Amino acid sequence: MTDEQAMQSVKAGDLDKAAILFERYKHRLFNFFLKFCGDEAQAQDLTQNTFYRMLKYRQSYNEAQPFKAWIYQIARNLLKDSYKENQVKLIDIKSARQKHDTETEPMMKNEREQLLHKALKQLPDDQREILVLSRFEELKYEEIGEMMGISVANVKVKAHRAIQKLRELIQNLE
Amino acid sequence: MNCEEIKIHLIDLIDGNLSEPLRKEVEEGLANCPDCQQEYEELKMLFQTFQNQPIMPAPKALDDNFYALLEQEKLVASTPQVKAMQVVCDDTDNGKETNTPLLWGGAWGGAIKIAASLALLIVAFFIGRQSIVNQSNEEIAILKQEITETKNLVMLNMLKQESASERIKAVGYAYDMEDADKEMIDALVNVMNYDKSVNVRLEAINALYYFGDKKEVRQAMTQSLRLQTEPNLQIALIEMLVRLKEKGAVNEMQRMMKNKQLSEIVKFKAAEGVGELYKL
Repeated sequence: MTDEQAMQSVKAGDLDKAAILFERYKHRLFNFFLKFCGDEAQAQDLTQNTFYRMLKYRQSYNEAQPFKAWIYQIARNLLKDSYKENQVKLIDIKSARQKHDTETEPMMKNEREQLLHKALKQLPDDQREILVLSRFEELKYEEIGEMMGISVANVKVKAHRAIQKLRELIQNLE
Repeated sequence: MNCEEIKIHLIDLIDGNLSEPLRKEVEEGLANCPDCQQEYEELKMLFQTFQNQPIMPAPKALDDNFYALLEQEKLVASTPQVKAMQVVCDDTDNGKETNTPLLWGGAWGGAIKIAASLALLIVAFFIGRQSIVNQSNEEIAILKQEITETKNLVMLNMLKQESASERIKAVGYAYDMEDADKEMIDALVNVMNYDKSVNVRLEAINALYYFGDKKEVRQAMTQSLRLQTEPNLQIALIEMLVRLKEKGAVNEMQRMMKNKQLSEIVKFKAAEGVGELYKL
């Protein structure tokens, strides 16, 4: 059963099919949030809220839309809301992120990974997001375009610029 | 193809997004340009680093919360809503059988049927309301009754679930009920006495206490003293019967005091209970 078929069933009232989607996406969404907020508890909350909205707004799902793009769209909105709502908390998140980094540093296998994370942090939010989506989450440019409401060509330009910017940052850090 | 042009295509080359002729052209250019090659290698390494990122497993609590949420949502969906009404309404207008319940399926089938008929009733009610305002109070009372019955049915279905946590949740719905009919009480008593999970049995005892104003509930709890083998359940029953001031339990508690097979603490609690009930 494809993601789209499962979501279509959920929309039609077969809510048990939501479990399939949850199992398929829980790890990736959790890791997606973790990369942005660096705080496990918050990443868990946000992941939970994503699935909550998936259930609550199931009627708004359009079967022509790739499910992946739809669910990441929900995830992105939640991320934005959480930034907007908690301007103060952002500072906490940043310090939590630093804390998280120092905790996980011994676990990072090599220097390259550390460099990558440091450089990613220095990127502007929109560039970081596009890289996390396209490279960590391995979403296709089409899916990202669908999600952000921009053309595939536009996504590609943005992604390529972000990669070049990231390379520069890594070179400066090296 | 000059350096600039080659570099533009490097990312697509790695991602395998180039058309065959273009790919060949870029690869040829790459072979002749050490600078481009270096950038190519760097990018490849960068992408590899991205891919090698360890994936943190999502916490277990996420599972628990999601599945609890799902059950809740299923319950909401199975109670009649405007949407259900519309579907039933449309289908009856066309004079054909409704297919909607099929979509819901599973253990909820029975509940859905009830919900659908209830929805019909509500539709009828809303149509009727416009002309017969006077009767509305009476109709509302009937509707309330029907809704309660639907809720009960959902709960009875849930008690048949495999997982203990599901059954505990089902038992928990008893707290939302204003009153419980005989079927509901019987179901809870059955769970109290025979459920395979101690926790579910304890939850059923707690729920029954809530309906302790009924004589049959207090009697069932008294009888259950003999059936329970777990000390914590025996103690819970004794405490609740004392709180419910059920004098009919005195004989059973006295019997427990003398039962050598029971643990000391249970016998002590039974004696204490007898003392309390005698005081009344």
